Amino acid sequence: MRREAEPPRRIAALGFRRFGRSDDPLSRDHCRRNCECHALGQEMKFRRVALIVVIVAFIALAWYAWGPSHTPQGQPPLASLNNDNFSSFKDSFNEASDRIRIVLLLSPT
Amino acid sequence: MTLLRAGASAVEELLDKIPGTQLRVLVVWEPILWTDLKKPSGSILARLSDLRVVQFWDRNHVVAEALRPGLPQEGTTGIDGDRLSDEILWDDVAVYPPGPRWTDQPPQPNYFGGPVYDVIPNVREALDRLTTRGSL
Repeated sequence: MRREAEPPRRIAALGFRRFGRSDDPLSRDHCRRNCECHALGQEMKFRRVALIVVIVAFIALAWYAWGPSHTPQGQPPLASLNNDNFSSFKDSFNEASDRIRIVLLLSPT
Repeated sequence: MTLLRAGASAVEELLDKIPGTQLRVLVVWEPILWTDLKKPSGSILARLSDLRVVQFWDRNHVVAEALRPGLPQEGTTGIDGDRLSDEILWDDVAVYPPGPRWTDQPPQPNYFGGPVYDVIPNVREALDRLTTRGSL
């Protein structure tokens, strides 16, 4: 017996609509593959986004850790104090002994 | 965090109101929270942009430790005793009159208190007392 001509198949992954009988084993197979491809694509997209987030976070952290600490224009540069150069703070204090001095102790965050 | 930054901004506002007063503001930034990994960024330093300000980064709290011996005991007028009991002095402000120099120990401030944002009126009062007393 001669088999009837089937309607044309089109592959969804290639952007075509797919036609065919629902009980066609080829149809189910293609559908499963398409679903797997879709899931794989989603996972790769998620990984790509996650990678971008990590890179941006790293750059932000690096900027925070090693970014510039410029004082406003007209002020001396920020001086880092330690036990060895603490006298520079005393010098600044004493150099202004002809005027009122305010010492502020603050935390950056 | 907001209050601390507001404290710096409040001092800047105070300085804006007294542009003619001769004074020096020594701002000491010190790490308190785990987020204070590094010296303050330019945007934080910009909160105190007055030209009478000099800014320092004190990772090891050297200034806070050095100031303590110069602070009077609790109960002295102009001194907030609660602040003195803190393990590390921070978010505090000290006002020193003209004249005394820092030799072995720092001089005694006319006013000491905190948190900075809350005591701005007291700082203003201390400054007014000093400016009317002297000819600054």
